[in-house]
Amino acid sequence: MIETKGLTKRFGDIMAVDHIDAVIKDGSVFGLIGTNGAGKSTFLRMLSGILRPDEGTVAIDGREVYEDTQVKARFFYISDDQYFFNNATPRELMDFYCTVYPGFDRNRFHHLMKSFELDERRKINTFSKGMKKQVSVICGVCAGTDYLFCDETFDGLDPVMRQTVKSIFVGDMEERNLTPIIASHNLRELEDICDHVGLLHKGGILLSRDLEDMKLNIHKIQCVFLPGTEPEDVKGLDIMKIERRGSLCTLTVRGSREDIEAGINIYHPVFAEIIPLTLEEIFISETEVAGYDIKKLVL
Amino acid sequence: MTSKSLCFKLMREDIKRRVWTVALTVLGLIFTLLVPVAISSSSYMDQVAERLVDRKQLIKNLVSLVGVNGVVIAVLIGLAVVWAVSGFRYLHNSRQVDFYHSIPVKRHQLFLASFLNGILVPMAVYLVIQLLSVALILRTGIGSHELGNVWWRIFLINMVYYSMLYTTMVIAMMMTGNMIIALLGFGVFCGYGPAVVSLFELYKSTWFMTYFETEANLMAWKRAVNYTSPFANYMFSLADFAYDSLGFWRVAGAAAATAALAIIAYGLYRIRPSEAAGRAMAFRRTQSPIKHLIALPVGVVFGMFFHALRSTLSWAVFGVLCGTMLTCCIMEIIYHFDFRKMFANRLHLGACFGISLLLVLAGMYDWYGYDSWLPDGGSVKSAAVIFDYDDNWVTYGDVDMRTMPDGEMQVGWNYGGQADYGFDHMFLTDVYSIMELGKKGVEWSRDLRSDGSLEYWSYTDRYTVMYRLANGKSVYRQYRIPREEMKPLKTVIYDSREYKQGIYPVLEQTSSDTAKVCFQQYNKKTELNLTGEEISHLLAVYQKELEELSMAAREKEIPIATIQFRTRKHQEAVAWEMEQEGYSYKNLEDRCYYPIYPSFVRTLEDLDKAGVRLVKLDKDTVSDIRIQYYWKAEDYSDEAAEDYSGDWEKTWSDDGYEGRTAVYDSEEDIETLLSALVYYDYRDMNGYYDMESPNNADVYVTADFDTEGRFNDRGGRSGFQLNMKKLSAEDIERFGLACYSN
Repeated sequence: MIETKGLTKRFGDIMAVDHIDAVIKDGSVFGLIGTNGAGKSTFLRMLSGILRPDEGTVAIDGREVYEDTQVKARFFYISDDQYFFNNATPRELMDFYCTVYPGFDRNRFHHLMKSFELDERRKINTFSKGMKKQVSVICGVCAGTDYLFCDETFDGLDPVMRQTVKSIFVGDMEERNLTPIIASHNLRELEDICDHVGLLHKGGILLSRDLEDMKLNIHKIQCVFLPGTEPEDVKGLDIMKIERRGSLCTLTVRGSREDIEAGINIYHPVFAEIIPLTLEEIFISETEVAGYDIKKLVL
Repeated sequence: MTSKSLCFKLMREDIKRRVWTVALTVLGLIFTLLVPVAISSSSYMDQVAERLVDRKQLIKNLVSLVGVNGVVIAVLIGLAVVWAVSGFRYLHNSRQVDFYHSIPVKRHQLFLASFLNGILVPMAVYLVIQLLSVALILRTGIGSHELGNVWWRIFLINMVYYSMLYTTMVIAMMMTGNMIIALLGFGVFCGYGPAVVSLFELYKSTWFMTYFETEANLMAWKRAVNYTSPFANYMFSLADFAYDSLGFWRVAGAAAATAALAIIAYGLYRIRPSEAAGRAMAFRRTQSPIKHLIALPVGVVFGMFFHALRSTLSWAVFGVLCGTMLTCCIMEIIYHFDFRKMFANRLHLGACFGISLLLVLAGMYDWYGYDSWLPDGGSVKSAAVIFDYDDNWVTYGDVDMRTMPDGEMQVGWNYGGQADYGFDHMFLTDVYSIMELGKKGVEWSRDLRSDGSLEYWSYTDRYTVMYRLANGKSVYRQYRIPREEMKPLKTVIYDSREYKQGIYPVLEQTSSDTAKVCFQQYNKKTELNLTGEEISHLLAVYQKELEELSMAAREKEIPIATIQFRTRKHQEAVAWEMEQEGYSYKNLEDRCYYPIYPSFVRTLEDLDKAGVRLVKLDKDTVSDIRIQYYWKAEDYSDEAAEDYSGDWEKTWSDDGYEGRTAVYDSEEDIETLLSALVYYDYRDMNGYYDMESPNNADVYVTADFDTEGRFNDRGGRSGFQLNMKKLSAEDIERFGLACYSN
């Protein structure tokens, strides 16, 4: 289990990560989502022991990560712009990783490289961006670590490869309890793989919850109220957002489906239908509540 | 996995990443060491086979290739930078930092793997190539005893200093986040110390009118330069090694310093934040101190420079402003990588400007009171005074015989300065005269500071006073006052025995250390055949008469001959050089001659007893006297030339002078001219002699012995000058010298 307490990092005057408390349970996929500059990469870099936190702690099973090689041997970090040695081939990269990750699975590496149709003897710098990502992922899963930290790893992969990688992750989770921690902007990509989501905004964590809970706890309801009833008059519901189109109102509301239905029905709407939110919609709603107005950006 | 085996594995992986650096090292050393040795060895074998050259010289040349070889040293310095940059450049790239610092390897292992490779690989390559070079030399038939131990000693020295420079560059890499800034940082590490130390000396010599740089100051400066820069330390050590004066402990000290630098580099690596990659400075806290440390001296230098161009306060202020502003702005631009940030810290800029200006003004107006300082008369135990250009014919220093690292004996003269000798040997107790000289010096330095007129230099003379104070300290001041004001005090000082003890080393010489006495008159040298007792007596007599020589006597007399009391060491060196037919023979043989004045009666008596017969220039020995007159080409006219009597013989000169030579061979002319002749070398030995010589007229004497003393300024050899004061107005007219008098 990865646990951060009051994790803080500043770059000069900029607060990149602001007192984050988070728990990442083993055996699940943790999605780290957030706005640009929210601190996702910084958070992952502290998780990887690259950056020393200014305040707070980051520990894996109670052991601090920074400069503890035994702890660091339990994860593999794939950055959003992974570094490869100059003129190195995937095979040479594998040799290096074998030096530092004793559990590196060479056979699996060869097998995956073949499966992905990547030439082990070709120089990596001649690979496309997506192919480089594939090499990184292959190295990551072959390292045999308990955790895999992926920073925008799916960015650049074609849809088939994305699904393939996801299936590899799922397989490893089942076989050896791998815990991938994936930071991404692409919420749709995370939606079908993540079990748990941490939402970062301006360096702080807005929420950290199981995706199912999150989806179950926030809903969009389209309704038409009786004349004389305004959505603002609705009491007893945690309404996050109200949109109108003629008499049709769309409310984004926190709470369970049952509670929301009960709460709306008190006002005897002419029409009411609950629609599930996508992760992206949840993200936008939550960030808007936190003061991140997407409309301002669009306008 | 044990950390040791992991470290080796990381080193192996690191080498794979840096194959190009290894290749560069191999190629660099092959082409600067192995190939030149191979070429020279093969050439050597051919030449020895054909008996074309001196074998000893060839061996020396070959050994020098594996010894202090400037090209190899330059390559090693370059490699130190390249290995440090290639080993730690990943710290300047955030992608690479993320990669290296995320893997399960402790930072000290990452550091050690790169750091050790940067020393061990070049060391191994250099050792192999050095051994191959030595093998090539031995293959020529040169024995290992002839090769000596230079090759492995220089290998060790080069590797110690390579490691020092390499570690310095590593520190520069640690302290910065950008390679260009790291290279600049390396330049600062190597050059800042010597630059500031030199600036300190320049500051003193520029602003303090009475500042005198002693040998001790110079040595302190050299020491400071040596120990404030790894590069300077390397160069000084190589120079000392070349002269076989580099001790083991110096090299051991350099190795210890390298170890200390390596610990600092490791410490910096440990605390270096990963996010520093790409920034100018890895540690923000170092930015301000570094900026101030550079801006302050630059401000002072600029202030001094502009003041030197136009000696006004406003230009000095302008210079300080330029220096500090340029430095601060450039450094802010570098720190932020943003031109618009040049005035990001106006407070620092103002502080640097203020402090630099304060330093410049303090020097300019002598707020330290340096030039006005005078000791209390009662606190002066003794003093030494050195008058510039006074008796500068005296030879100071001693013979230098040493065995070089290649086993060859080198003989030369280790030059000493008049001032250094005087400060060591002169103990004037006439405090009144000294204090008067000091007071006048202070007054005139005050005037000079406020006036600064160039004309001042033409009628003043300079002297240096060393005050030995009762508290044990010695204080030096250099003054400049008008000649006329100096003369009475100088006469009193010169006439004292203590003064002469401090300027004539022969007065310290003992008969037991005197091996030989030589006598010289004009160009004729005679080695006297004397017993030890006779040498002792002659030395004592000469010393006494020299001690008693007064300023008044020097104004009236000109030396008539010179004498040399050659020390045993001097004699040994002369004999060695003569035997070896060395080029230093003449240089050594002609040193340490002292004048014999006509008033040195007892010395002359002793010389007479020793069989020395003084040559006399008279009508019997001189057949003619030629006077060569010169004009600048533009001043010449036939009419003017015809005004001069004598037999004309036209001569030419390449440097724009045109001259004619008049030959005087009548007894009357010869006698008249002889009475006014002064031998150049003897005139040089007595600058106080009251005479006036004509400009642009050289005198040649044809006698039955060699009288041509030295090259004149037109390239010919001329022995004599004419003293116009000894000629009547009619004679001056008759000899055509009227237009040449001053």
